[in-house]
Amino acid sequence: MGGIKIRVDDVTVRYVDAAGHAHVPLDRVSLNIRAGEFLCLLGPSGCGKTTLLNLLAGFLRPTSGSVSIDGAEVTRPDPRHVTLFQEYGLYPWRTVLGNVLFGLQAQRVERAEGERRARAALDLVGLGDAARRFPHQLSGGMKQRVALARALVVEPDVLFMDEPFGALDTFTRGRLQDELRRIRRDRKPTIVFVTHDIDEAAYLGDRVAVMATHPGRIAALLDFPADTQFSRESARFQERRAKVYAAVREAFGEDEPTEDEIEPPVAESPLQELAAL
Amino acid sequence: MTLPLRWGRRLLPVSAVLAFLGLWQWSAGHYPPDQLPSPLDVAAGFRELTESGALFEHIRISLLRFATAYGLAAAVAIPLGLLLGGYAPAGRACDPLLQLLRPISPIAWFPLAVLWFGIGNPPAIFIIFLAAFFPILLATISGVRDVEPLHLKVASNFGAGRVFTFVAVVLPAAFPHVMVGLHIALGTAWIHLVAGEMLGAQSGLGYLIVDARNFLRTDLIIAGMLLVGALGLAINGAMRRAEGVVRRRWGAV
Ligand SMILES: Nc1ncnc2c1ncn2[C@@H]1O[C@H](COP(=O)(O)OP(=O)(O)OP(=O)(O)O)[C@@H](O)[C@H]1O
Ligand SMILES: [Mg+2]
Repeated sequence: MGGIKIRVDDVTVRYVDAAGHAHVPLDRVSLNIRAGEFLCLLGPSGCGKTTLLNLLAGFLRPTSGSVSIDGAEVTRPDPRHVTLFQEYGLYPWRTVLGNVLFGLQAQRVERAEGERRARAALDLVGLGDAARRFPHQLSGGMKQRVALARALVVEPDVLFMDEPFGALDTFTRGRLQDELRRIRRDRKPTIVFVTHDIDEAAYLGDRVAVMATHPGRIAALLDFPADTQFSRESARFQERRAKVYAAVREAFGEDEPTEDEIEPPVAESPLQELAAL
Repeated sequence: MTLPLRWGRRLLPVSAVLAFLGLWQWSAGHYPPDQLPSPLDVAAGFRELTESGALFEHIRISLLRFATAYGLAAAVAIPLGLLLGGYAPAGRACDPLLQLLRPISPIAWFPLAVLWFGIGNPPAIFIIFLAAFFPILLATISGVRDVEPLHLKVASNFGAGRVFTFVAVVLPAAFPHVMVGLHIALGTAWIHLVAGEMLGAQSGLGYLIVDARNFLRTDLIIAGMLLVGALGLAINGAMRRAEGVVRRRWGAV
């Protein structure tokens, strides 16, 4: 694991609405993200996860404080740091291949070279056969794979992912989580991954930042040994889950967040249920 | 169970048309043909027009005028709409002017059209142009403004420059809106074709109707009207098919 890749230094985001009320989605957040690590931002709706990610990705400037990547202050989006969105953001008028080519064309990569790289990226996410299809002909899981290929093809060294699997069914989500792990082992990007799913955070994260609301802040930071090998059936996973769950309970007391945001740690994962069929 | 349903679907409109024709034929019996000719009179008038060959010349000229005016309107309104939609200061500057001019019916431009362009082809083309211009312009502007913010966000993430973003994101995103504008404009422009051709033109479907009125040939007036309706229907059908192709290709279900 390398040194510090992303530095978040005492960042506050404040909005004052038309009625003069102040909203503070992020209040004096500081965080260091290491090169090559997989950091999960975990928290209930409205705690500022997207706001923090938008700051890191350069889509938003903080009211005070600073964000820097590789020592340079983040002032705008950068193709070396690619964001994946829950709603995919694919261009419906482009084929799958055309979508993956987008970033390369924007950077004026030569056509033949671009096509070769785009096809390789599609193979990497298992969509080599769908190159000529249009996004509306794909399932949600396939769409997110295209978005992933579109990001990976420009060889970013940071991936920002905002609930990328949030709109997918549990089976597809589990498969994509495994693929993301595999891709991570090959490419070793730094990944900041927003989720409100405790299982997902425990399964993917080297570290898990538990966020709390009003004002938005990081309530706890869990540090696990880097390991992308353990399975969902393993004792190690159950152990991580229990730790994340405990941290969440500590951050919110007994009454918050609500039950549908947190499952008890003994529940079987959906993939186990699938395997049992 | 599906058989009677499908029959009913065909049967209903056909019987409505037949009932209309019957009602028309029956009413025509109560009036002199100069006031209300019967469907059979109109059919005879229609045959007279086709036999002399003049009809096809009128149709050809009308379509030519229409295509010229409509093409001109698209050629001016689409680039202008892209500019006003894409460049916010220009859009803000021109917005009040557009809102002021838009509600003015092309018919209200008749006196100026004649003063500026005389009679014949130019005022007719001018009126049709006006009728097509605003729907296309406004649809293009809103198409450009309504580009999904997420699509722009993705483009900026990949370091796309202004020109590339415009060509590769804004233009294709606006395209289906422009198609809708073109479709609406087709209808309004066709409606104003007849009006435009009443401004002293010596040919075309509008002229045909005016000319028939001067000779009190009510049968020819109605034949001309029905012809305008039928041609409009055909043009609209072709446009709808083109739009369907675009919508499928753009994934809008
Ligand atoms: N432009 C804005 N103006 C005012 N308030 C805002 C603005 N953007 C975000 N907020 C507020 O900031 C808070 C955090 O929003 P954010 O989108 O970061 O939450 P989140 O953790 O991503 O939630 P979710 O899980 O629902 O996506 C919310 O209460 C939201 O209302
Ligand atoms: Mg969010």
